[in-house]
Amino acid sequence: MKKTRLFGLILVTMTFVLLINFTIVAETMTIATPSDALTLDPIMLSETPTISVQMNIFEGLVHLDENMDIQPGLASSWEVEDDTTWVFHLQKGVKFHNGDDFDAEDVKFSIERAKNHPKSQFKSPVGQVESIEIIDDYTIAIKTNFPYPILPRKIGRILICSKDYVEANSDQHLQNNAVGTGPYQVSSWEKDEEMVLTAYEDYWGEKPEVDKAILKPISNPATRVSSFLSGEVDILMDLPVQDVERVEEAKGVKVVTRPGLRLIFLGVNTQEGPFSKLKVRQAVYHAINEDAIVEHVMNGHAYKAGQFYPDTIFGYNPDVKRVPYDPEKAKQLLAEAGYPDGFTIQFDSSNDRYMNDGQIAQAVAIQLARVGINVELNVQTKSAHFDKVLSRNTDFYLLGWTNSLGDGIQFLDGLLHTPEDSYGRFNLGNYSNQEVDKLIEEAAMTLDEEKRSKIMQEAVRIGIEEVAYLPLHYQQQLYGMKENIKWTPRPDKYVKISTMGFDN
Amino acid sequence: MLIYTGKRIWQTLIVLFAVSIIVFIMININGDPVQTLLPPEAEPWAVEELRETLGLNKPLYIQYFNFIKNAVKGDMGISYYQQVPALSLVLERLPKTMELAVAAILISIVIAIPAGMYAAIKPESILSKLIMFSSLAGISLPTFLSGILLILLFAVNFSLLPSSGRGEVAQFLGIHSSFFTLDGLKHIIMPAATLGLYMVAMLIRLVRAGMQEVLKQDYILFTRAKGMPAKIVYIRHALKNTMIPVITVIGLQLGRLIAFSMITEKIFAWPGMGKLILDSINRLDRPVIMSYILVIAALFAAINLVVDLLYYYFDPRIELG
Amino acid sequence: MKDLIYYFKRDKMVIIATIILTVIILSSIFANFIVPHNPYDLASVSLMDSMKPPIWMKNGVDKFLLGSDLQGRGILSTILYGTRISLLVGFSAVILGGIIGVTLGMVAGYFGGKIDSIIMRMADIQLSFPTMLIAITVMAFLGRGIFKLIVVIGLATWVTYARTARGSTLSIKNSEYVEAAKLIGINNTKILIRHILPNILTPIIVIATVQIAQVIMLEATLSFLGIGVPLTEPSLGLMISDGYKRLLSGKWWLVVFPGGFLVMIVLSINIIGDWLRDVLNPKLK
Repeated sequence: MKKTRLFGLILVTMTFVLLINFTIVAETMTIATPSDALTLDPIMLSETPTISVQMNIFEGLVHLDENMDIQPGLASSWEVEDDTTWVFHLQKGVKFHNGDDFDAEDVKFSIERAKNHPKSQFKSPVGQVESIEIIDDYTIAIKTNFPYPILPRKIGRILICSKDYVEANSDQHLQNNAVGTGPYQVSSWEKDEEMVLTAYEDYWGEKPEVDKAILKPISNPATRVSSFLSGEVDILMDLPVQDVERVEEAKGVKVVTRPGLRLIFLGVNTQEGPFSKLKVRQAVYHAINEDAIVEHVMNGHAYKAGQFYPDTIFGYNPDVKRVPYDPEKAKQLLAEAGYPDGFTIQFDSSNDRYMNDGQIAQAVAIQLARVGINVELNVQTKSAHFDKVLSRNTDFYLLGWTNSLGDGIQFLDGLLHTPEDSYGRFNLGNYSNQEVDKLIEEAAMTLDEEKRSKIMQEAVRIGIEEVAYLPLHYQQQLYGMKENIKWTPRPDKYVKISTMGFDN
Repeated sequence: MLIYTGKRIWQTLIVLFAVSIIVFIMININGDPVQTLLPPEAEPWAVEELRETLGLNKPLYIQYFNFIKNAVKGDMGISYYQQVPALSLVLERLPKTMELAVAAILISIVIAIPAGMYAAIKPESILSKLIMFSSLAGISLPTFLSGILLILLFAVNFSLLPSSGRGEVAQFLGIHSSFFTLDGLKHIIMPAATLGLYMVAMLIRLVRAGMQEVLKQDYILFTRAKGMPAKIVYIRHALKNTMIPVITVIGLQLGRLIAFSMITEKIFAWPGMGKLILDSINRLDRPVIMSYILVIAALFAAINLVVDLLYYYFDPRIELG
Repeated sequence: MKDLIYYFKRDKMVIIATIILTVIILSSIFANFIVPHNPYDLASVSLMDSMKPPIWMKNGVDKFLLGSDLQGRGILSTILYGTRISLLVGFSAVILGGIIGVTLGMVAGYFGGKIDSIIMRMADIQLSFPTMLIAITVMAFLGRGIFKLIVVIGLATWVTYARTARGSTLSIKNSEYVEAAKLIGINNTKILIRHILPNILTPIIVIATVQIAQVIMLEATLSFLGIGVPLTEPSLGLMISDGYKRLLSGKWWLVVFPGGFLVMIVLSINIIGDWLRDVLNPKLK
């Protein structure tokens, strides 16, 4: 079998070389992903694997590069006209996959569809958009309700569709049939089996090196690693931490790591129960040996976290340091707080959401047992876990948080601000500090980057000092790749095939 | 017989109705699909809006009433995650699971019939004992473990078979299947063997028992006395007599195979309905869970009916009803 | 009974299986006295002992004869404690399902009529679902827990016993001695318990034996899916489903020992069940 294939390959190559001297042979990339996209309609589902696929087919006005910095996309440039008006200048000569021309109408339509479609999951990113005005075919002005510094990052999440195409088709049709402006088109899709993406010939930007990509969703990690080790796929996504050594030993492949954006942290009820006392929260933080968790549970593939987001995120505070592991200090603090013999508490965690989450929760429970806190571990599947913690029916829980926009305000808004209105949806322990609230609200309206950064850093400092949450670690992204592949994965885990290439 | 069939179908409909109520209550009292569905940064008003759009803000009995009103028209609702009817999502996966189940049955027959016959003919030989023992050992290993071991052995170590997926599919007589290409066959063999494993033990026992009974009968002894070659005697006469119970058991086990395929499909990334239901349970995609369970219930009822009718056909002495 | 012992002595495989099973059951019951530490006691476990290989290998330590798992629990002690959980789930679920099933089955068969048809329709409903589907769906919504698991599996399996019990009851309810008992005015409950139950028990025992093995496997499968028993009290199934993820990285002892144990238990039960069916069920002989 192999011999015939090799022979065939030689034959084909020779024919090519003889006939046309400078032909580039079609390059195919096969990628094993942890799960399939669920829809190709870009407003229907805000979920990483789905967006990851859509990002190859569609484009937004702006996009984030590998360092999470903003780069022009379908908008070639933009400027702030006044505090609440942003003007975007669009790329000219862009065509959709079906031949439609791209212009300001499509942008207006796509943003309004995201805002108004009853099933849209992208209402929040455009929630502050008050109106969109078409100035000419290639210029639009977006007005916001109040000064809104992160508008470009938010607007980048809206992928632009062709107005005529969407209006002419049903939601059910759009589910499976995507027409975008992106570098790739879907040429076939068997759900949960494989999706074939081929390069779009009339793409306006730089022509990508990979002509054809095959995405194979393999949800079971051991099977996914096996398919990579047996050579069936070129790129392996989400390599489990425990299998890194095995893949490193294999021939012709390499392991590529990238810092992830996801923080794994512990949340506590700051208003009632033992955790309402600052000393107890501090004691728990001292009792956790994060080095041991990173080394043994994460097999060394995680980064110890001292605050709410990593240094690649806007608003990181370089002066905040993580408290040291010190079980004696923990016992002493517990005694001072009035719990010399510890206490009993239920601890909620998922076991199928984050890398080794069940094991992390167990390790925490064991470490707390050593300082006298009796932890009743309640580990459930993610749907049951989210249901329990999101209804705030928990005093102590494990959760992950990703700052997908590259800006720390997401965490501060959602987790550090007192829960009210659109704030604090994930502040499940009801942490509340007026000073922090004021800082966060101020940051949200400050356009000056330097000033804004300082305000956010201050909020982070207070949050950590008061142990509003107990950050454990940032996950590391792990990929397996064949040795000849040239690709730097992104921190947000979107797989942009156009950034892949081969070493020749 | 027509009246009987009609009565059974009527009964099945009542059962399906009862099932729909039980399942509806069970999957609706727990979990909040809207929270799972929306991204973390979604604001509270967006959550409420979606809840309203999906009709989940209404009292449970009204939700059920709406469901059953549409269900009689064949509309089980739209999947929360994919903008297509939930029932069609399930039905488009059904053939892929059936394909796997059929392959599993074929593999188990191919192994079990000769093995069972041999064990009946030479019950005292070491090979027979080994067959009986290893068939039991085969079902003593959890499916997920035997699946992974097969992958490690044949895909990773020997690079003989692909680890996962369905491979190349071809069309034959209007059916798309992996059966019709070499690549497809290579893909199906491991998952089918994993799935068929527990049936092998059962079928071996059945074939052995049936064979033993037949061997005792006079005409076998007689034809042997006539000097016909032993092999032909066994295969022609004996096999024919053991086939009926074997077919019945296979029919009855088909449902169990489809259920067991959940694990096999997950391990081997086989895009069937078992994988769909596991994902849907995880995502709380209620319309899909509901459709899957009702499809399975209807399928089971249909299989049971066919088996009963077949019984009647083969043995009219059996009373129907 | 004498027959039973006679056949038993003749079959070496069954003797071996019974001995193995007895040893395993006893050692799991008396695990506290056999192994030095209780792996379910969180305060006695430490990440510093994580992933030690068995004692005879490089880096093996005296403390862990068969190595340790990720959290630093000894494999041997966890196996013994885990076997206890697996057997507890297996036996309890079968007893629960058996009691419900046999009671309903006898009642249905004995009284017939409306009661019979109601019970059998209920059985039909339940039969439209494979046990595994019920267990997965219900446990996914209920969350982990040993007690929950036992109840769910018990409730999901009663039909098997009910059908058999009903069939056997039907065949003996018109026998002379049951008629005689009725004539002399013994009440129905007594007849069911004293006269019918002992006579239908044989096929039930055969089914129950095989079912124990199946429930143990089901529990392992649920663990693989992330539902089932609590993480801090691993059963054999949970140990295996945790360990199989680390097979590729060469931590074979996480799977091989608990897996071997599970196979021994299930295989022994199956061998005994197989033999019981051969001996007790004259139809198949």
